[in-house]
Parts: sequence; C-alpha cells; structure tokens
Amino acid sequence: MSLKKKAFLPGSRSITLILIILVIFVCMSILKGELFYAATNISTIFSNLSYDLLLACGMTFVLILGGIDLSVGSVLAFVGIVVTMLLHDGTPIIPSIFIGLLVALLSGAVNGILISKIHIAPFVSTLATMSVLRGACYVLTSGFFIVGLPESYISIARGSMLGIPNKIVISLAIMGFLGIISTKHILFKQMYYVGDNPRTAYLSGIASSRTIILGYSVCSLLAGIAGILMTSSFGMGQASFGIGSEMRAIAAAVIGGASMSGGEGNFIGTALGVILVALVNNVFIMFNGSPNWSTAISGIMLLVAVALDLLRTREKTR
Amino acid sequence: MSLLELKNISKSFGDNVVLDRISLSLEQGEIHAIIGENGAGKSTLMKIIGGIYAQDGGQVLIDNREVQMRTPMDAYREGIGIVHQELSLAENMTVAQNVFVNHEPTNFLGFIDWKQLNHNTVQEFKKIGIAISPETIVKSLSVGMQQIVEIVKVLSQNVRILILDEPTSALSDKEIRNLFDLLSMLRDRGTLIIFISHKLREILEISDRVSVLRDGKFIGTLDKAAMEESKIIKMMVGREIDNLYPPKADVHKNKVILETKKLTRNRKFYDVDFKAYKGEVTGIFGLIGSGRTEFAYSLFGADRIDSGTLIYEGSEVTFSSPAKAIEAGIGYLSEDRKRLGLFIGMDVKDNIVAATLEKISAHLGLLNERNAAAISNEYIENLDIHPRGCNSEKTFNLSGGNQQKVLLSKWLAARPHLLIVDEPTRGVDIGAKANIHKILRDLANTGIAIVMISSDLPEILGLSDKVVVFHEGRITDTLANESLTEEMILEKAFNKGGVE
Amino acid sequence: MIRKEQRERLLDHLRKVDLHYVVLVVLIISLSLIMGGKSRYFFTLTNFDVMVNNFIMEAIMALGMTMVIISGGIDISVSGVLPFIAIVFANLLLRGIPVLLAALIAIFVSCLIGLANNWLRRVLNIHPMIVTMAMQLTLRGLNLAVTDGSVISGFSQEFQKINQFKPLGISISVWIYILLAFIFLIYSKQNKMFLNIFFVGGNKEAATLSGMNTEGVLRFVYVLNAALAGLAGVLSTTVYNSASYSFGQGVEMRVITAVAIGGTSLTHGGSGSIIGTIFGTVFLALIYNAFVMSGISTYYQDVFTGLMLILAVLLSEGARMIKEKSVKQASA
Repeated sequence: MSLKKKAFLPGSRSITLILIILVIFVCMSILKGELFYAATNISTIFSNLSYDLLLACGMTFVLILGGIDLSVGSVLAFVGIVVTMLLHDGTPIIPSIFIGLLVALLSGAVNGILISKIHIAPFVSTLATMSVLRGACYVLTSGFFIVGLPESYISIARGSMLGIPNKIVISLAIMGFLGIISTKHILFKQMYYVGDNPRTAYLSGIASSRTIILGYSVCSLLAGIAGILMTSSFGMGQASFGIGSEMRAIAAAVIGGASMSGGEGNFIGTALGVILVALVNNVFIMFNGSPNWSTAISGIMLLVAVALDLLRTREKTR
Repeated sequence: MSLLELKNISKSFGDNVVLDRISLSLEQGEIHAIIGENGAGKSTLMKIIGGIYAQDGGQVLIDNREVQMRTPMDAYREGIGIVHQELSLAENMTVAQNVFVNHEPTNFLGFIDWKQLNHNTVQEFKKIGIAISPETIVKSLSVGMQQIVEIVKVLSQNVRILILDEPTSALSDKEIRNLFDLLSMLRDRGTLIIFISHKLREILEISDRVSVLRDGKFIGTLDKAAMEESKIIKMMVGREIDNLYPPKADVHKNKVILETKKLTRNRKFYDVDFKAYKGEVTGIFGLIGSGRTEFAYSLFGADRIDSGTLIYEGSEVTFSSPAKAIEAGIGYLSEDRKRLGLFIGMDVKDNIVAATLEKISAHLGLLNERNAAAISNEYIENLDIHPRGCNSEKTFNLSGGNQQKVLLSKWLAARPHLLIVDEPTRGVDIGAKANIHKILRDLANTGIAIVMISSDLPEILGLSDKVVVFHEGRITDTLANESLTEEMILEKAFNKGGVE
Repeated sequence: MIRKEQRERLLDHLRKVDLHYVVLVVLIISLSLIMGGKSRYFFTLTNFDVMVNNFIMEAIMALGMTMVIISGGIDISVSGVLPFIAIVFANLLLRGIPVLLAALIAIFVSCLIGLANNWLRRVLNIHPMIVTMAMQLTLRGLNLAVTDGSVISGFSQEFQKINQFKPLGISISVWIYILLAFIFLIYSKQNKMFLNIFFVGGNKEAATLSGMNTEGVLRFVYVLNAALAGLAGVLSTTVYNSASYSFGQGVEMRVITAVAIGGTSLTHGGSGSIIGTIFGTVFLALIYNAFVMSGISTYYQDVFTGLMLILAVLLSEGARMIKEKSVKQASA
C-alpha cells in the first residue's frame, strides 16, 4: 500500500462522519422537509450541543489517557449549583465563577490522584465521585431550583455574537484551543504517550502521575465550565442537570475516534461525534415523537462506537 | 513405536521464524531433555505440544495417531500436562483446591467432597515424599514449595506426557533431589518426561536423552552414553556467523563511566561489581533468569537497589526513576520492543522524540514541531529506516527491523553518555542486524559507553570489547574479548566447574 | 494446663478470622446500640420492616455482584435490569398470566440480558464496565420509552395478597433473601462452579492453562447476576404493587458499595466473600436507617455511599499493600 494512502487514513474517520451527518441531513429534509428544517427543531438539535462539546472534549483527554470519567455529569451540576448559590447570596460574578471552577479542578485532581497514585480503577473512583457530587447537589438545594440570578450572569450564555449564541462560541473556542494545544504542548502531548503505553512512558522518563492528574483535572474543569454555561442559559441551578450526559460524552468521543484502549483521540472527530449523537437522537424523536428514547439511543450508540473501535484496534494488533 | 512424535513442526510470529520443521521422536518411559540458547524455540515447541499455540505446519502424533490440540484442555485430554515456568496458582486458595482445580471430587449437586479432596491431595504429595497440610493457603508457602504444588497439580491429572519448563529454578537442593527421585519413579512407571533446563549438570544427571535446538532448528539427539558437556555445548553454539562485525575499538582508554560495587537487588542479583567504559562496548551474557535484565533495570532507576553503591561519572548516585537516569545521560533500550519499548499506536516521529520531549519544547512548554520533525528525519535518514519519510506513519505498520531502529533512534535522540541495549537485534532480519551493529560501534567510537545485553553468542563475540557473564544473579567472570570462543562463554554461563 | 491449651486453640481460631469482619461486626453492633439508645423506636418490628424494605433489593443483588466482582468484572446494568424486568413482569400479569409463570418468564428474560452482557463483553473484548453501562442506558431508556413515564398498576386482588403474606411476620422478599444468602454462603465455599469464579478472578490465564473453561465460568457469573437483578425486579413489583421506569435508580452504586465494604476487592479479582458482603449489606442498611431515624435528609445517602465506596477501596488497597510488604519482607 502506498504511503500516501496510509497517511490519509487517520483523517478518514472525520470525513466519514461528515458524510454520515450530511446524508442524515439530506434524508431528513427529504422525508420530513419543513418539520426538520424548522428553526425550533434545529435549535432542539443544538440545544445541548455546547455543553456536550465541552464534556466530550474533556472526555477525549481522559480516553487518550486510557481512562474514563463518569463524574462529569455530576461535576456539571455541582459546579452549577455552587456558582448559582454564591450568586444568589450576592457574591459578585467573577469570584463566584472562579470558586466554581476551582471546585471543578479539585474534584478532577482528587480523581487523578486516586487513579494515578493509589491505582484505583478509574471507573471506581469516578463512579464514587459521581455519586458524592450528585448527592451533594441534592443536599445543597434540597431538590429546589436556584433562581434569581443576576441578569449579567444570564447574559453570558444567552447573549450572541454575530447571531451565534455565546455558549456555542465559548464552547467552540475552548475546544478549538484545547484541540490545537493537545498536540502542541508538552503536558498534553504526554497524555498520548501515557495512554498508548504507560510502562514505556515511565521508561522514557515521562511523568505519568502528573499527566494523569492533569488530564482528569482538565476534564473536570471543562465539565465545570459547561455547568456555568448551562445555569446561565437556563437562568437557574438545578440538582438534576447533566444526568446521563457522561454517556453521551463517551459515545461522542469514541465515535469521533478516541480509543477505549488509550493513546488516540481526535478533537475534530469528537466534535463531529457530538453532532452525530445529537442528530441521531433528533431523528428518533422525529419519527417516534417521544424524547424518552434518547437514553436508550445513547446506550446503543455507545455500543456501536465501541464495536467500531474494536475494528480499528484489531488492525493495530495484527 | 514412539509415544509422542513431532513431524516437521513449524511456527512463525510475523516474519520471525521461531520453529523450522522440527521433527522429534519421544519414547514412553524416558526423561528427554531439550536444550538450546535463549530464543532457540524450546518454549514455543512445548506450548505447541501443550495446546497453547497452534503450529503453522507439521503434525503432532500420539501413539501414531495425529492429534489436534487447540486448548490446554485438549492437551490434558490427550494426557499431556505442562508445568510452566511462571506459576499458575490461585494464591488465595488452599493447596488442595489448587491441585485439583477443575477436577475436584464432587457429589451430584456440584458440591466438593472436601474429605476426599484433602485425602487425595495428601496422597498425591505422599507420592513425592512430601507431607503437607492440604488446607494451607498457597500464598503462605515459599516459592519453592509453590513450585512443588504446581508440579503435583499437573501430576494429579494422570498425565502420560509430563513437560517441565525450568522446574528447578526456584527449588532448594533438597527439593530438587525429591523432584528428581519423583521423575525417575514416574519414568519407571512409563511416563514420558520432557525436561527443559538451563542447568547442564541437571540435564546430564537426570535425562536419558537430550535433544538440542538452535535458532528454531533441530540439531541432534544424544543418548545417555554420548552425553558430554563439551559435546552438548558444541551443538548449542556452532551458529553460522550471519554477518560481518565492525572492527573493535582500537584504543582501550579504560575510562570508567559507570561502576557498581556489591550491587544487590534481593532475589534478582547479588554483589555485582561491574564497570562500563567510555568508547567501549561491554557485552553482558547470561541465560534466562541470570539477572542481567534486572541488573539493567536497577541501573536505570526502574527498580530499586537493596544494597551496594552505584558510581556514575565520578560520583555516587541513586536514580529514583528512569526520568532521573535519563536526565543524567543514561538510556535503556528494552528487550521487549512492543510492550516496553515503543508506543506502537503512535507516529514514528512521536516515538523518536519520546525521551527528548523536554529538550524540544520551547517557552511555556510548546513543542517545536519543526524541530521534532527535523530530529526524526535525521534519524530516519541516518539509520536507514524504511519506508523513507515515515514521520507520520503509525509505528505498528513498520517491519520488526525498522521498529527496532525507531526504538534505537529514540535513545540516540536523547544523546546519552551511557546506552544500555537489551537484546538489540532480537527478531530483526539480517540486514537490519548488521546495520544496528554498525550503529552501536559508531556510537562507541564517538565516546559513548555501550552496555549490550544479549543471548546471541556470535553478537556478543563480534561486537563486545569486554564480556561479562552472569549466572544465577552473580557475575561469574569478566573477560577481555581476545581469543574468546563461544564455548568458553557458555561454560561460564553454565558455571561449569564453578561452585553452586 | 488444659485451660492454657484451650486458650491457645481459641487464639488460633481467632487468628484465622479476618480482622475485617471483626471490625464490621463491631461497627454493626455499636451502631445498633447507639441507635437503640437514641430512639426507643429503633428496636421495634416496624422499624425493622422499614429498614429491610429499604434495602432488601440491594441485599439480594449484592450476592450476585459479589461473584461478578470476584471474577474480576463489574456489572452496572443491574439498575436497568431491575426496572425492565419489573415492567415485563407487570405486563405479563396484566395479560392474565399466572403469577408464578410470569415471574419465571421475567427472570428468564433477565438471564438473556446477562447472556447478552457476557456475549458483548467477550466479542467486543473490552472492560465489562463499558458494556454493562451501555446495557444500563439502553434498558433505562427503553423502560422510559415503553411506559411513557407512567406507572403500571392495577393488578388482581390476589396478587396484592402476596405482599400481605408474612410467615412469622417476615415478608416474602426477606425469606427469599435469607434462602439465597444461605445458598450463596454454602455454594461460594463448596460448589465447584462458584470456586472456579475465584480462580478466574485471581488469574484468568492460569485458570485457562489449568484446563478450565474460563469463558463458561464468566458466562455463569453474568447470567447469575442478571437473574438476581431480575428477581429483585419481580419482587419490587410485588412489594410496590406497581412497576415503574424509576425503580432502581442508583441501585448499582449501593450494591457495589455494600460489596466493597464487605472486603471484596474491586481492584484485584479473586478475593472476597459472601459473608463479608452480608455484613456490608447489614451495615449499609443500618446506616441508611440511621439517616431516616435521625431525620437527616435522604439526599445525604448518595454522598455517603460515594464516600464509603472510596473509603472501602482505599482501606482494602492499604491492607493489601501492608500484607504484601510483610510477605515480601518475610520471604526476603
């Protein structure tokens, strides 16, 4: 096989995804026409996009490390509640957000330390964090919504730039920045090494614990930002925000080309994965009329993504 | 009629031929030793007989009947049992449970008949003259005793063909004596025993016949009467010199870069006094389990040192991690290319700069991509890595020889003062092999100290300026490579005439 | 003299008892005493009923989960299986199928889910965490979709009587649990299949080399676990006289925590015990009951469960490290 063709292959995942997305768009507009194109439907498709982009982006880092983070949905909700409660009590916006992000970082760092230093399996550690933080959300709010947020906070996500909602601009900007820096900066680049082969990374002098802690911290931080955007956009804090969103994030990242066995991840692919998952959900809703299916779809998409991943890793071990 | 007959057994892993048309006939009631250097193909052959690997070609016949074995279960059914080198015991369970795993005496409900189980276990151990409480938890036993449990476990399956892969490596003299008595007894009852060992003296003592393998080929079988140490060693060596070696260092400057004094890592190596010199290739030869790789690990900071001192570039040091050793200018090329050497799913370029990331990152830790590509291109060019311009090629797409060169490039790019290479040419083709040898010699000529661990005797002889021989965790001798022969080194490695 | 000998023997027995269980039992007893001291209500049959009903499904599922974790795996699909089977069972009942037959069919369906879990795990060759997570999502989504978020009820009068049938004042689910716990206790120590699970978890490769059908063992483990989750689903429908997609939310977390508290290692397969899980289950049930009794918001449960899980894993890892160190030193 010619070298050129092989070098072309890594990008082919993104091209395939774009094609699939286009095909779905075309089919849907033929089958459902106006209904599909209606502004309300398009905005439904993209309503969760900004949060999912951030979560999936963070998840991509963790998957590159060969790990998994189930706590992102809870971090999202918890940070949202911390920030909105602070705002509710009259704390200025900047310090509130700062504290919220600090909480997110801390949660990620705890996971990273438990995983890298004490060698607790990532799913055990993050499952526990998920439970603790989700519980903490309910404890703090007693299940009530937190409303009465300052207008300027709400405008963070609701405002728009050149007609594009701020929250999408912010997510895309963060994701773009991290996507670029992920291969350019030594601290991020080392994640690929640690994920591909932790033993070899250690023998090559790469500080794997530091890298793992950084990865989980970044993942949590992004979930925290998503929490801030979500509370800002809805104009309230709620304990049930982000339930199940970790699954969509994992599915999107794996569909986008991140490998469950570590060492691989592609941020453009992840972004396309997020769009595809949202789109497939929408297709189901359009034909079935019930949004209740969306959880089931996430589950099936996850399995499909893993199966695709399997085909690729087979090629690698051959 | 032979009990077990092998006809033209072949096996390759990728482009690496491990077994090349091996034919052997093994009789009922004999102890048949198989001997050969590391990588001669003994273990692979045994794994084929034991149903763990499938052969690519050839037949396995038992009682003149061709058998197909796909799993260890099939092998047991044919009456073949293997005692593996690595223990395969469940540590948290009792001796009895381990011995009778998968064939416990049970009642109709699937309940285990403990009385019977413990009784049977005691009986099995009685056969080899050992008294043991069947309810002892395996974890609390010594390694030697665990080995015995492993052997009894296989014996309890009523095997007709018993394969032992290095069974004595962890046993005390008394335990070895018991084992040999047992083996003799089993032989007299008609069991075929296949015995793999690196200990020549044991082979001479216990076996009725010995077969020699070399480079995956069958060399010959000797009867008891014809067995002599020197004869066996001659059969084991005698490899063709398959490539020309670059000339040795002309001036021996004897400038020590690294020295160890009484370096000890418990249960791995003891009291090692070792010196590596600038501008020279120091070869380390030793058989499996001789502690040579473990020694390199400790030098490189990847494993702890229990006692002794390590002097590097004139001062006493301890490396707490490989990162520290790399910082000090030491590189270690692992013998296990895929598991411990390469990032197999990443680009060639990423692999080459893996140990140099800090050096090629500029302000704020941003990687200088152009610099990385330049470094990578330089090594692809200099080391003649194919395909050319493979910077962004995934490493798993390269051939074994080129993968090895990528690995070597990673360490060259780190610009070490001391480079330890562990089996630098394992599983690479002849062309790449000669190429790597030349690179190593050129490096030494620039003043770098090379320590080369190898079980390839011609390679040791062809490339080293000095040869250090390891035997059971200790250095048996350090020899200047003048008029050395393969036999001389192998005798040291078997510690012939030495004190055990 | 005799007394000394007896004391020696007693000490010997005590040495064999795992410290872990002693600590757990002491904790359980002291917690009960504290609660009993604080509230007269604690030691009443009514409170016992409340406590048991709050945690009986978890208790049943913890038995199967213990075996899954000992085998070196995990199964978080149980929180999808439980409501799914409850819904299946409810629908069968509404179609007029006799209770016992409906229960059997429902549990059979759960076995099929377990089979699917294991099949996907083997074919996709990935951590069971991912497979069972996907299964959990799929089933939970399916539950919501088929019920459209509504609660299924309206069973016959006869069916409702089952719940009122309490031999010796103890409800059917508890009797079933006692029976199951007894069977698991004995089987996990005596039965060949159960003991093989320990081998597979401890060293799968070694088990294969010993000629064991390791995949068969794992299949058994996942089917068994799903069957217990299915049973819990059937019992839930019986207890609540209804079936809802919202059954079993977060149940996998509580079950795994009970198992971890019982000393079964989540990091290294092959070690753990049913008796430990039973102690862990009782302990958690008591704690939750203490929450209720002390008027602490039930929202604290999740926080507490998560913290307990981390703590249990940390303790078991710490104990293992200390043990391994002492073994190494002893043999060095």
